[in-house]
Amino acid sequence: MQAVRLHNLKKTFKLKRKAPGLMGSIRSLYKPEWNTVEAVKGISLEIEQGELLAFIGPNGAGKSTTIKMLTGILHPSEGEAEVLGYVPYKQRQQLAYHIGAIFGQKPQLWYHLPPIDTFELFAHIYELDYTAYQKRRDFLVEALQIQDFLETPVRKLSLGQRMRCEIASSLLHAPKILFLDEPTIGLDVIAKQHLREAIKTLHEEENLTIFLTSHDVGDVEALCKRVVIINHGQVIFDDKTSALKRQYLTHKIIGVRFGREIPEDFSVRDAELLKRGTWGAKIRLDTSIRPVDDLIMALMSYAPVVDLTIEDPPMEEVIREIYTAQESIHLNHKEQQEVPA
Amino acid sequence: MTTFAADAGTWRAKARKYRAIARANVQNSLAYAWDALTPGIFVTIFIFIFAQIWKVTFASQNTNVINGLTLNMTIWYFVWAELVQLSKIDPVTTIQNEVKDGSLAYTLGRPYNYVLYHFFHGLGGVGIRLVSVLAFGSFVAGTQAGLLASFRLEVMPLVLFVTVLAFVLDYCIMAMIGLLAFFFEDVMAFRFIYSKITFVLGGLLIPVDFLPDTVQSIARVLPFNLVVYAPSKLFVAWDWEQFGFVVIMQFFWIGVMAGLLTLFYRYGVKRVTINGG
Repeated sequence: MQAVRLHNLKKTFKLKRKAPGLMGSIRSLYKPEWNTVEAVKGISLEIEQGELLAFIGPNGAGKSTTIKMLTGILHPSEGEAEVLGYVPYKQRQQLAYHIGAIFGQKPQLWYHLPPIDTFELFAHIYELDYTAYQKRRDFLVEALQIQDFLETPVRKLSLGQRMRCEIASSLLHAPKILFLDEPTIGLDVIAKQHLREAIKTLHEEENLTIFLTSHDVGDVEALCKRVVIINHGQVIFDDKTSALKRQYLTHKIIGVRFGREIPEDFSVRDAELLKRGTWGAKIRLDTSIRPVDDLIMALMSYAPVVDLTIEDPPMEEVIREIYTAQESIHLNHKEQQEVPA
Repeated sequence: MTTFAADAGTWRAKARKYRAIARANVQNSLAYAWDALTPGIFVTIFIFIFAQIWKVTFASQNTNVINGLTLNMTIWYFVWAELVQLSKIDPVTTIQNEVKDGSLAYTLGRPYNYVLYHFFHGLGGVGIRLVSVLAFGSFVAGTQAGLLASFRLEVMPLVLFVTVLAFVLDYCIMAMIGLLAFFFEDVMAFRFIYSKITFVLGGLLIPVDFLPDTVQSIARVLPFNLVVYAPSKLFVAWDWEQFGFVVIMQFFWIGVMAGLLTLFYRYGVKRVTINGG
């Protein structure tokens, strides 16, 4: 069953443009100039119930705008959207009973109240059966390990503690889809790990559809089987996470440690020497230029090899490359458009 | 799997929902109960200064009654006027902040009526301010002018009823100003204009009875006098006929403003942009 279906979804905003300085401010009063910004330019997407999907892209790519259209709080300028069979912007209130959302940079828990008070409030807002709510709350408290600070005012919680409570509050009504907009932003390594484990457990145990946006590639690697990358409001990649690596991984990082010291002028043909030490080196090899086995043979014939590692580049690097490539295409396109006929 | 309440979707469940919203804000305001001292201190200074001004005014006129109000009634009139003014719901700041910091993404995305949510949310903060203003205001008025001579305990529920309607009417107007934030983000200028209109034509500066005839006739047909002046005047000078007229006018204007507010909200929610990524 499809949880989300988007067809050619678009959102444009009108932004006021103001020239710098005082005169610019005055002129904008009587002669305002507007720019039309296409935040989302025709996204089409289908998400199955129970999928955990990463929706990533650089800042300003249109991720949050898309989430806001999916949750019904922004009206699309064009196109169609369907979430759990509801049209979000027309049936926002009905849909709200079945979805949860976390906007990582914005708190939804009441600042001066302990999380348990906000939970009680949400139980009433979502019109939950009280006994069922208590059971659900206890389950989430256990799953997210928040029992120790359930009665502490939110203002006294650490960001990691608060984030876990935010997630619990969004799941009290057992939504079928959870929209997570940068849930790990600002968290330390341990807190991120805890949160990822909790998200994974809830996803697996409840067949919860999760729509995750994040700038942290670790979130994507740890949680998601499918990645959708958007840039400039358009989908530029939509496939399995493993396919992302396969498709874009054209090089390997090879670490070698020799049985003897290597000279200062040590170099490698058709590969990039990233780092050179007394006993070894780190090499970046483009496998389309030179096969891995060829390089390894060459290294082994150079000197006795004590240790050898072959690694894929970090996912972060892969995504950075995609963004950069897309960015240059976008700039070229823009320049071509600006050239007078 | 959480299940919905057996009466989900009914008026009972909805009433519970909005009651819970109000209760949460009561709890929230109790966390900083000392904040409620601020309107209390303000009303103390205000009533004290106004008492001095009106004592001089009555003395200079060499009369005990001006346009039907004695000095005692005038000072107590301001206690009730400030009670309304300082306790009423302020959705303008709340909505504007939601638009600016992007938390609108949450408040707009929940299963409730957004306008009613802010009404009950605001209502939760009213109680503590009401107690503070009434306590401080009554104390100063009592020391300056004695107890309210025309006080009638039996009509107080009706005065409170008119006051509640005044809160609702004011909320409709203030919420419309707040919703302007969907288009302009910063709407403090609009609120400033409304507060100044209320100040002059609404009876906060002086009772409407004391205004020049022409201004008075304009003020009486506008809804602003129904927010501050009408309940304050009934508090100090109860009149059954006036009560009936005020209630009818309040219902009329609440109907008009609530209708406009609904249209405003429907229009605004389609055009709102939410800040932040």
